[in-house]
Amino acid sequence: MISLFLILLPLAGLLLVWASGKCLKLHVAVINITALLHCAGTAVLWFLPELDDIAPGRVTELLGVDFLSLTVLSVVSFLNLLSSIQTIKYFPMVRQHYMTNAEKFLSPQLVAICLLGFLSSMTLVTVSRNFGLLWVAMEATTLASAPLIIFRRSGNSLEAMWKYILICSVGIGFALFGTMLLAIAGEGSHAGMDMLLLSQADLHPEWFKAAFVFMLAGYGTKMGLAPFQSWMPDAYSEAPGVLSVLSSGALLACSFLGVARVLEIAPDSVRSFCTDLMLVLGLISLALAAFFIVRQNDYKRMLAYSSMEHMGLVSIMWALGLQYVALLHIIIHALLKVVLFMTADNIQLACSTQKISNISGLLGVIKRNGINYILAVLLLCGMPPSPLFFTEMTLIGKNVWLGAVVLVLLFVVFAGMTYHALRMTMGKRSACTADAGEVKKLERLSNIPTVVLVIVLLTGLLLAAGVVSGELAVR
Amino acid sequence: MTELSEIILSILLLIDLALVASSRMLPCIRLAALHGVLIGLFPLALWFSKNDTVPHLEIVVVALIGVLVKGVLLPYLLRMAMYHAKVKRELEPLIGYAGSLAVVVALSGLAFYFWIRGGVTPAGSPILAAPVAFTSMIAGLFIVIARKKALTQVIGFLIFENGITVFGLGMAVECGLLVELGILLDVLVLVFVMGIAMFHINREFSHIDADRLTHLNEVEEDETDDSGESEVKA
Repeated sequence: MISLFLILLPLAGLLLVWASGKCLKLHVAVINITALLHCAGTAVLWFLPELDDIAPGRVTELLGVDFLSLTVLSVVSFLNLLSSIQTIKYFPMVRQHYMTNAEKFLSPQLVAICLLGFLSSMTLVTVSRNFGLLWVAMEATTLASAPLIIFRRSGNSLEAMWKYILICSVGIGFALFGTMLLAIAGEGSHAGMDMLLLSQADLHPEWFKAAFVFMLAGYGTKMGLAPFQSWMPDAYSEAPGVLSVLSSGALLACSFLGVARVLEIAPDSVRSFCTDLMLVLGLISLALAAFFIVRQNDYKRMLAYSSMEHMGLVSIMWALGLQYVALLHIIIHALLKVVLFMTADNIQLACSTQKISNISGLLGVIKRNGINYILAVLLLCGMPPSPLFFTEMTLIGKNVWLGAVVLVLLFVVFAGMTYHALRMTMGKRSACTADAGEVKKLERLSNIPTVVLVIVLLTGLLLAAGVVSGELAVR
Repeated sequence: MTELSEIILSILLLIDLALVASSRMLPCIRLAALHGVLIGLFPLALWFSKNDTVPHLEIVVVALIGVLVKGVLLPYLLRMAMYHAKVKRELEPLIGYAGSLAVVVALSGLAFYFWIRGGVTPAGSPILAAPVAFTSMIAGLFIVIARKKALTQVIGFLIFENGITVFGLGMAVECGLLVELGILLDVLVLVFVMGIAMFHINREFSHIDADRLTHLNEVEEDETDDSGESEVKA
């Protein structure tokens, strides 16, 4: 019952933080120890899967893991570990920054509580084997992350939080309706995933279609798919980087898991309907994101639209049946978003602005952050040897016409993102509001992003070596 | 043959329509509370319409907690939010009350028409359940879209969520005790967080008109930052 342990562990940490008062060091310590133990538990699940494994045909009532959930759980756990380590230096730094500027901000205790609650609810999303429980957990992620958006306590962040919580809750409400429809589509009117899987062939096709539409709309809202994405840029531009990292990397993967779970039990007769729907939504997301990225003047919003673009790509991949490629894409996207959102936070602390047009010459101001930023943007756009290059190549090679459309859109995204990133990093030095001491601290905050970049680059090189040696073997 | 569950459903339908047409906050909250109490009692009524025995402990527990959360706690939180935000009534809704009522009645009529023609109700459930559930969902979503005050939007969301619950109960969906309690807990925390958000929005902007929360968007980017900075200064 390791999965239960992984859910309860952050809750125990949460209680500890809540009871411990205002000691910042203790909060950070609790967050980090929880993150480490969580990672360890996830690793144990990988190596000893029989502890929580789901054998085909076995009915687990509520909790259980399989390959898909373990992958997403690992993303959640690893990202949480990275952002927890970042908080060690980030919390005191940000506190000082806001205190000197006499700005209001959320108390670190509440931030710690929300982060731990967020971790627990995301874990529950990944390990739940019941669509009802999945819904409960998904709504809990919204509730746990919403207070973090008003970190800066400004009017804008309140607005972003209100939009986030209202749009996501109504969207997720549709997913609850879809869950009910899904239960009706099954014989026993029960929302357990394994029960539904067992009776996969007998699922009522019309009810299932209706259920899939509503669940795709619901979890698609949370995932940032095209017509339902309006909360995303607002929330990511106002939230602190620590939350954006988790939200963009881990939460989107969790929401995608919700959609993938429904598709998993689709009976053969309606599967093509479902995949077509995902394909269309994915393409619309990609196109809209490309449009908004090109004309963007806020680097955090740009990153939000880039998340939307990649979720669109993942949906397209999944719809085409490229499951493993899509999972690799999710993982690498999550890692690169760690680099980008953490760096974006540092840029914001250094320049006190979120506008691209007000920033230039970052390489002269905060050199290491600037290098990380430009490298991560290039890798995120699929510049080889980025692993995303290989996943996107596979996607494009799968279907010629679709591939051509995707390629054009990817080119637009590439042009837009690199243009903005180059404008920010190169050129004359712009005004930097941070003093020398702060700049030094900000440079130190770039350590984790650098490590993550190295991991991504190594993965890409390994993949490249594999592809090249594979092709040599073929010849 | 009129049964308890059908009476409850009829009252729910009337409350939906009344909510769409009322402008004062306090009656709205009271109606939402009554809605919640009836939803909490609905599973018990369903049980008695199908069986003559004493209901399962599980059903009684869910019903009791449902009544407590939806009929007592949520309205209490809403009233607290109302007093803190000092808002008494919805002024200038985006769509007038008569118009709103007409739209919701028309959509509800469609729901009834199509369900009675083509819907499938499981044995023992009232045929009214699904159309009434759809009406609640439509009315709730309509309130979220067509009303300006943040508080009214929360009430709309609650009615929407109640509608989904009625649908699930009426179609005999078994979620299990844990999931049902989880849903209730989620809704409770949601309203709590939204209430706090409303309190802060009111303090920051001195209003809770959600339609005036338009600083963040793509079109007027230049204005965005100016107003944002002025607010921080203020």
